[in-house]
Amino acid sequence: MIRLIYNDTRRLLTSRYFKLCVLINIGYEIFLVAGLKIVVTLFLHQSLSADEVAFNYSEFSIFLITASTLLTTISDFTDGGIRNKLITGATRPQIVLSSLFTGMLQGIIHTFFACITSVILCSVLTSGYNTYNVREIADYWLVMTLACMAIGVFSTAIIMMLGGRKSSYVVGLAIAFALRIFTAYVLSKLYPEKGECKLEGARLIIYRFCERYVPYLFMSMRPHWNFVSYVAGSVGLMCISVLLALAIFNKKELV
Amino acid sequence: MDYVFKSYDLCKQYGSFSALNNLNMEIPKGSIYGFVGKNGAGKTTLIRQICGLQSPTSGSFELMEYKNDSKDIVRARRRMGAVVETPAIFKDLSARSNLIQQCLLLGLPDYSKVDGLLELVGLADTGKKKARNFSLGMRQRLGIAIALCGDPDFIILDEPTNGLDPQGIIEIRELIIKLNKERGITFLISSHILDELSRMATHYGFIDQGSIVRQMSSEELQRECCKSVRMRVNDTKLLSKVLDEKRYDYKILGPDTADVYEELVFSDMVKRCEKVGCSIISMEEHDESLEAFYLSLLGGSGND
Repeated sequence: MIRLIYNDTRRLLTSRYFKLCVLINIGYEIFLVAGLKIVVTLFLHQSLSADEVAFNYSEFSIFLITASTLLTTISDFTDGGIRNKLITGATRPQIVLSSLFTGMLQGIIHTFFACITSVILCSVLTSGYNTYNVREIADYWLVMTLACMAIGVFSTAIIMMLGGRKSSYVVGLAIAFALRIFTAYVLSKLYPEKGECKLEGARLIIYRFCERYVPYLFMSMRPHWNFVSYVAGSVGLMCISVLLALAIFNKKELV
Repeated sequence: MDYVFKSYDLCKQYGSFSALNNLNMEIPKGSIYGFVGKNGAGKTTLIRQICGLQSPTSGSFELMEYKNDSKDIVRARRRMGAVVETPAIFKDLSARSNLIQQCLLLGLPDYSKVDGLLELVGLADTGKKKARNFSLGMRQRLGIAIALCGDPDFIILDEPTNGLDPQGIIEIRELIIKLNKERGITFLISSHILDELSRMATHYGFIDQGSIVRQMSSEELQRECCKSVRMRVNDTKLLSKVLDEKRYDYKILGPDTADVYEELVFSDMVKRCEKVGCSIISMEEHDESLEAFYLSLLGGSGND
C-alpha cells in the first residue's frame, strides 16, 4: 500500500497536467492581484487593500482542484497505469485508496501554492489587511486546505466510480459547476443582499447544515463556524467518497 | 505437462452479447502461445480477465495454479507481466524513470537491473528523452521492458506488432524468442497476423465467437499447412504399410484418406500399393497455406 502511494505521488509530481495546474493556480493569483493593483492605483488613485485580494482562491479552487484531479487520474487510466497496478498484484481497494490519497494531496499542494503566492503578493503589492488579523487569515487557509482535500478526494472518487471514462471530464466538471450554483443559491437564501433571511423550519436547518458541513460551501464564506464543524464536514465528505469509490470500483469492469 | 494458464468453461456476457462462450484453453509452461482470432472473437476479453481487469460471468480459470476467485491470485499476477492494447507507460518520464517507477511499484529495492533491461530492449541510448516523444515501436519495447521488471514467468502481449514498421516487428519478434529461450518465459501473444505469429509461436489457440476452436502445437500446424499429396485409397491401413516401409511422413485423416508429406512418384506408389493389395482411388496435390488454414478453421467473412 505504502509503495503504491509512493508510486502514485511520484507520478503525480512528474505529471505535466499537475504542473500545468500549479502554474495556472500561481498565474491566476498573480494576474488577479497585479491587475487589481494596476486598476486601483493607476485609475482610482487609491491603495489596494489585502482584504480585496487575499481570498480569491476560494471559488477558483473548486474548478482548479476538480480539473487537476480529473486530468491526472483519467490519464492514469488512459496511460494504462491502473491496469499495470492490477497486473503487478495490487488489489482494487489498495488502488482506490492510493488514488484518493493522491487526490487529497493535490488539494493540499494547490492550496499551499495559492497560500504562499497570496501571502507574498499581499505583502508586496498591497497596503495590508484592514479588517482581518493573522489568526483569521491562518484560519481561512486552514479551512481552505481541509475543503480542498475533501474536494480532491470527492473528485477522484467520481473518476474511479466511472472507471476513468472520458465522460468523467464532463461529469466531474458538471458536478463542480452544479455545486457552485447550489452554493450560490443556498448562500443567497441564508444571507440575502436585501433584508433578512426568510427561511424557517426544515429548510433553514438543511441550508444551515449545508453551509456548516459541505466543503463546497466553505469556499464562498469567510470561516465563521467552529473549526470542528469544518473538520467534520471535510472528513465526512472524504469518508463518503472513499466508501462509494471502494464499493463501486471493486465491481467495475475495466478496459 | 505443466500449464501456466488453464480455463474451464469460461464465459463473459456483456448484456445479451457473449464475448466468451465456454472457453477451455491451456497454455503450456515455457511456450510461446499464439492466440489467434478475428477482431471481436474474445481475445482481449480473455486477456483482461487474466489481468484482473474484468471477472468471468461463469466458469473459472487457474493462473499459475491459483484459482481466479482465490485471494492469492495476486501472487500469481506478481509473477506475470503484460502489455494490453497500449503499453502502460508514463509519458512524462524517460525510459529509465519509467522502469524505476515500475521497480518502485513492485517493491524492488534494487534498480541495477534497469540499465540491463534498457540494453535488452534497445532503449539504452534514449537518455532523458520523454516517453511522450517515443515512436510506437520504442513505446512497445518500453512496455515489454516494464513487463520484464519483476522477472516474470509469464508475459501477455496483446497485438504486440500492431502499428510497427517491419524493422520494429523483427526487433520485437527477436526479443520474444530470446526471452523465451534464454529465460524460459512463457508468452501469450494475441494477434491475427498469422504469418508473424508462425515465426515465433510454439503453440496455437484459435478462438472464434468466444470459444476455442482448436489448440495445436506449431509442429501440428506446420503439418496441416505444408505441401502434401492427399491420397484416397480403399484401406489406409494397407497404405500405411507402404508408407512406413518407405519411411515417409504422413497423416491418416480417415479410413480412406491420408496426407503424405513427400514428393511421390505416381507409378512407384501404384506398384507398391498393388503389392500389398491397396487400391488407389485418387492422388492429388494438396497445398494449404497458413492463411488458408486459418480461413478454413475460422471462416473468411466478418474479419472487421
